[in-house]
Amino acid sequence: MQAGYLPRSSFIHRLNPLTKIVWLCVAGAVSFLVPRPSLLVVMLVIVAALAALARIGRPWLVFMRAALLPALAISVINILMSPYHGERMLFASYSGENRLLFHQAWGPLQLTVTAFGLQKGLLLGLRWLGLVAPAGVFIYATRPEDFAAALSRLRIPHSVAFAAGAALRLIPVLIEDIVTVIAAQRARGLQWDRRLISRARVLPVVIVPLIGCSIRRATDMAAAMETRAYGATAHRTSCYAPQFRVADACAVGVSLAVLLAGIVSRMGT
Amino acid sequence: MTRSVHFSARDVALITIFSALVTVLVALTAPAVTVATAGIVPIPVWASFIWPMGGVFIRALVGRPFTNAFSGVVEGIVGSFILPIGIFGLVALPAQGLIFDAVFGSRRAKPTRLLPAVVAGALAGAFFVFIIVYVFFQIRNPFPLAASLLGGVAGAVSGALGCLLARHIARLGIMPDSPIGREAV
Repeated sequence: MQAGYLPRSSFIHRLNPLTKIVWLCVAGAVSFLVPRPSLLVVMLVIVAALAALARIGRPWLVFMRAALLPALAISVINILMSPYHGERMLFASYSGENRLLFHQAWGPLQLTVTAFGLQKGLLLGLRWLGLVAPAGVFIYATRPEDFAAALSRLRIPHSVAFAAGAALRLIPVLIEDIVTVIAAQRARGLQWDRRLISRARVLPVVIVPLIGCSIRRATDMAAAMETRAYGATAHRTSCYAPQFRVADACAVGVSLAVLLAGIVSRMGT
Repeated sequence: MTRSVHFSARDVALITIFSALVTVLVALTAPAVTVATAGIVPIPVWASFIWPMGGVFIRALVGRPFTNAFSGVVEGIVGSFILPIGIFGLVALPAQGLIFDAVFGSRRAKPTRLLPAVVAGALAGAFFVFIIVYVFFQIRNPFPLAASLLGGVAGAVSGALGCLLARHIARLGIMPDSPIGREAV
């Protein structure tokens, strides 16, 4: 799975990173506000269309395929273990009656599936996909440096903005480090099979070299920062100032309209 | 260097890399563990088994006040893209970091001591699970309390592991000029 910025020439890529942050926050808020699974499906289709518009459709689909497994887990766990039979949940509305669909008891352990529990499980799974899907588009269409610059513009302390931007840029590198350490230890005879317990048993053999590798990377990064006079002045300047254009204003307007529609749909239920 | 810059370049680099590493580990392992254990270990409980380990370890490496709050903000921002809790991580993870900072705020409560590490891990783990179950999943019966208890136990074990890991790294002599390295010398 690709885990970083993908350079493309698209409308989405050219948008100001602040606009994309606003869009991301609105998408996150709307996925919480929307009370029905069907509306979340519509939202996911819109995000998929945006991914296609940004020419990152294929990697985004791979990203979403990885997200499907936990979404399924969230749905199934919530369907089977819905307290109050799924009735009590904020920001959700249910249709129909709360019929009992399945009930099985093994002593104190009871599994109950109700119509509301089923809807709740579906809503939570889709809600998670609704949170992750725009994040995928954002990661693939925004350079981490632009993201850090946008955070700085939001008056977030520079050290935090820098750390967040650098951390996002480091994700693919760290995943590569994990894969490299596991491969190196397997070459030394480590039994890294598919069983979870045996993996947990050999985890220290992977974790300690990984930490050593990360500390070395941090030391190199700190040296690079110091050679560029990191922290020498309180007021930092930047060579790059993202422009806020008409397209950005339109995108922010559409995002706020969607947020308003989400609030209205929430109030209507 | 001006007074407004609290963390040195090396502190920022360490916080950045280890925050990203812990977030990636949670994102990669939590869904797999939940599915493999058929939901017996829910995602928040497994996450509260990983976060405190990272929290104690980062604190041991950097050793400055508000290290964990800073790390929590970075984890929250990164986690909002790759974790199941999305932008909710921006609230839960910095708050969890503040718990570590509160526990390790006392001069005697060092992250390389087992008891403070266990207490910090337990509190952070219990808080994380409670806030996720109660606010994110919006479950309002005794389940959040039971789940937080489980999260507290996972966090305590994780805190202890983080402490042992920090001691082990100090003994290896990888970072002799860090707080744990100086302590080992």
